[in-house]
Order: sequence, then C-alpha cells, then structure tokens
Amino acid sequence: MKPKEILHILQSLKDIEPRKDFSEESRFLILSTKQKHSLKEYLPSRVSLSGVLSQSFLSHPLRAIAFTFAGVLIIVTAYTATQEISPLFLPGLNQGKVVAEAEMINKTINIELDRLEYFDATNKTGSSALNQVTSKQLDHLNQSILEKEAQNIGTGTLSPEVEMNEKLNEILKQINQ
Amino acid sequence: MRFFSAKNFLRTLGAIAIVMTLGIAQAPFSRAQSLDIDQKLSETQEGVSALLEVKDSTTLSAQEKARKEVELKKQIVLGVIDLAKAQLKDSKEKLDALTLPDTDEWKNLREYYDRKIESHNEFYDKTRNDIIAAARAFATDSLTQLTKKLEEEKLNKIDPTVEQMTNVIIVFNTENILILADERLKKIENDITKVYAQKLVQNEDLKTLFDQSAQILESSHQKNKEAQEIIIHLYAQDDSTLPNRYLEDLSKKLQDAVQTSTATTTSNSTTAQAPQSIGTYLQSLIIGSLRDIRSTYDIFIEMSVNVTKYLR
Repeated sequence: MKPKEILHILQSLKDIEPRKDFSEESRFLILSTKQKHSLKEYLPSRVSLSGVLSQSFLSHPLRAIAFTFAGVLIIVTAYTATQEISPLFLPGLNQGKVVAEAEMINKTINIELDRLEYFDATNKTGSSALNQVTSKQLDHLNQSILEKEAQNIGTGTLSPEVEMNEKLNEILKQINQ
Repeated sequence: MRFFSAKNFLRTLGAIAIVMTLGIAQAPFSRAQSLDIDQKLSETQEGVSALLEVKDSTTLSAQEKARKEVELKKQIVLGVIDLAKAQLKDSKEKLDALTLPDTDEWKNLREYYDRKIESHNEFYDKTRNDIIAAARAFATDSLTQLTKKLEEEKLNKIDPTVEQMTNVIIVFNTENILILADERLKKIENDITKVYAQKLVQNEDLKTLFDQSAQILESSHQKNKEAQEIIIHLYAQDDSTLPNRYLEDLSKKLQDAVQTSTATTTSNSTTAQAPQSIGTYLQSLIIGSLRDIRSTYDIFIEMSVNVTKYLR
C-alpha cells in the first residue's frame, strides 16, 4: 500500500461516530450509576485558610515554629533594611544611646577617681591616728583638742593656745632630735 | 586611630560587662567599695576622739588616765592595723579579678604583689601581737616604739605597694572603658562617612568634632599605655638591685620639664607646673587618661545633638 493510500484511510477514520442511540444510552448509564466516593469526602465541610493552617500546624508543631520564626525574620530583615537604607538612620550618633553610654562611663570614671582619693583619705586617717598614739604633746595643749574646740566655738583662726602649742611642739621636736 | 575589628568582639563584650559592673552594680565607690574599711575607719576615728577626751580630762586620776590611755592607744593601733589589712585584702581581691596581659612581666608582677601582700600581712600580725603584749604589760615606751615602727613601715613600704596596686587596678579598668569608647568612635565614624557621602550636612562642624574626639581618645590610649609601661618598670626596680634605664631616662626628662616649667612660670605665672616625681607623673597619666575619655564623650554628645539639629 502506498503512503498516500494509508493517509487517505487514516483521514477517513475521523468520520467514524457512534450511533446516536448508543451515545444517549451510554450517557444515561454513566450518570445514573451511584458513585462509590464523592468529592465531598476528600474536602473538609468548610474550607478556610485559617482552618487549613490550624489543622496543619496542630498536627505539625515544628512547622508552626518554623513559620513563626520565618515571619519574624522577614519582618526584622525588612525593618533593618529599611532603616539601613534610610539616610536618617545614624546608630552611632543616636543621642539617647550616646548620652546613656556617657553616663555609664562617667559613673565608672568617678569610681576610679574616687579610688585614688579613698586610698589617700584612708592612709591619712591611719597616719593621723598613729600620730596621736606616739604624740608627745602636752595633754591640755594638744593641737587636735584645741583645733576641735576652736571649731566647736566657731573660731576660724588659730587661738593663742594653738600657737603656743605649735611652739611647744617645736621645742619637743628639738628635744627628741 | 584605633579601629575595632570583629575578632575583638568577645573582648568588647567582656569590657561592657566589666564597665557595667563597675558603673552600675558598684554604685558610689566610697560607700560600696568596702563597708568593712568604712567601718574600721570610723571606729579608728572614734578611738582617737576618745583618746583626746581622756587626755584633756581633769576629772580622772593620773593612774586612771594612764590606764585608759594605754587601752585606747592599743585600740587605735589595732584599728589602724585592721584598716590596713582590710585595704590590702581589698586591693588583692580587685587585682586578682583583673585580666592582665598574658606576658611574663605581668605574671611576675602579679606574683610580686602576692609575695608583698603576704609579707605585709605577716608584719601586721606580728605587730598586732606585740602591741597586745605591750599594752598588757603596761609598757608605754614599748607601745610607742612599736607604733613608730608600724608608722614607718606602713608609710615607706606598705602604702607604696597598695598605691601601686591601686594604680594597676585603675589602669586596667581604664583599658576596659577605652574598648567601649573605641567601639563608639567606630560607629560614629560610620555615621559621619554616611552623612557626608550622602550630602546630608553641608558644613564641616561634625567632621571637625569627630577629628577632635578621635585625637583626644588617642591621647587617652597613649597615656594609659605609658602608665602601664611605668608600672612595669617601677615594679621591676623594686624587685631588682639593677639600675633601671627606662626610669632613669624618665626621671631626667621630668627634671628637664620641671626646669623648663620653672623658667616659663617666672615669665608667665599661669603656666602649669610639670610633675616632679615619677609617682606624680604616673598619677597625672592615670587621671589624664580618664579625663580624656570624659572629654571624648562630651564631644560625642555634642555631635549627637548637632546631627539631630542639622537633619531636622
């Protein structure tokens, strides 16, 4: 058989149709047969996004965590990107942060400077106390007693007794040498 | 200028923790540093007041007066010993908490202070026992002699050690503050670059202020580094009989500065006096370094206020 003849036969096959009564009968048969599984059985009674999500997340809690984390990450990234791109975002010169940091550092610096003063003050108190123990000053002409008394009665200047005491101290020093 | 790199991240975190502990948790140093020391200080002062009252008393008999005086003198001297020991303990605790550079010289310095503290504590304990014995025997002359010896030893040997340890503590706490200040400077530098690159500000004020702050902060670093170097040499001098070339040169430099300063002061009375001794110079470096950080932050605040004004 020649190819041309084969082609002609194949084209003529297109014209083949069922009988009209056969096609009607078949359609009736298909539609009247009760289906074993309806589509409803595969779908929930009410299809909603929240329903689908909650059912999915309840059965897979890890998936819920992953989705939440991804959401937070997206929000943070979007915010940071917006801020970084913004010309007004200057984190280094943020007044609130700089002032707070300066206050904290100032407090720390004061602590360090106080440490030096505290060391001096403690040593002076110790030395002054030991001086009183080793002092050879006369009891009633003791310079500290007189200064304290002068302070109590509001005299700013050295009293004649204090001056005399200083002279006596000088004498005692010379005697000790 | 010192730039902060990612590898120093942990160091910065450490510095923040230390500075926050110092700045927030410790509150005012003089109160919180050591209640023990404060209490002993107050007891010693009360003892001195009581002694003065007894000395000035006209109602007590001579015998009673002498007895009370010996008792009070004993209490005062023991109080001073307790105070000095508490100070040593406090310094040792703070020194132990420091992270010193991981080098032999700083390790040796730590060991040197440990040895010194031990020997000072031994001296105090022995003196304490001797004082109690002298007071019990009513040996007033012996009590006075022991007190004089204590005074000399404390003034000439123990106090300088405590002072040195205090300097080490401050110098390394300052180093932690400097790490934070560097970090802030780097952040501000990024902002300044952005501000001028995007032409958000036309005038040069911010740039000038930034350069000033960077310069002052660098000066603070230099002072801190020099203070560290002096501390190491001072300790090495104490621990060795060999002459220390570094300290000799520094001493000469300071003497020259004093002479120049004196000559200038004669013609211009407002000129500040140059430090005369290495100890005074060291203290001026320590205080200067801290004050520089404070000035740097004053400029940072000024810049943060200005930038808000300019961008409004």
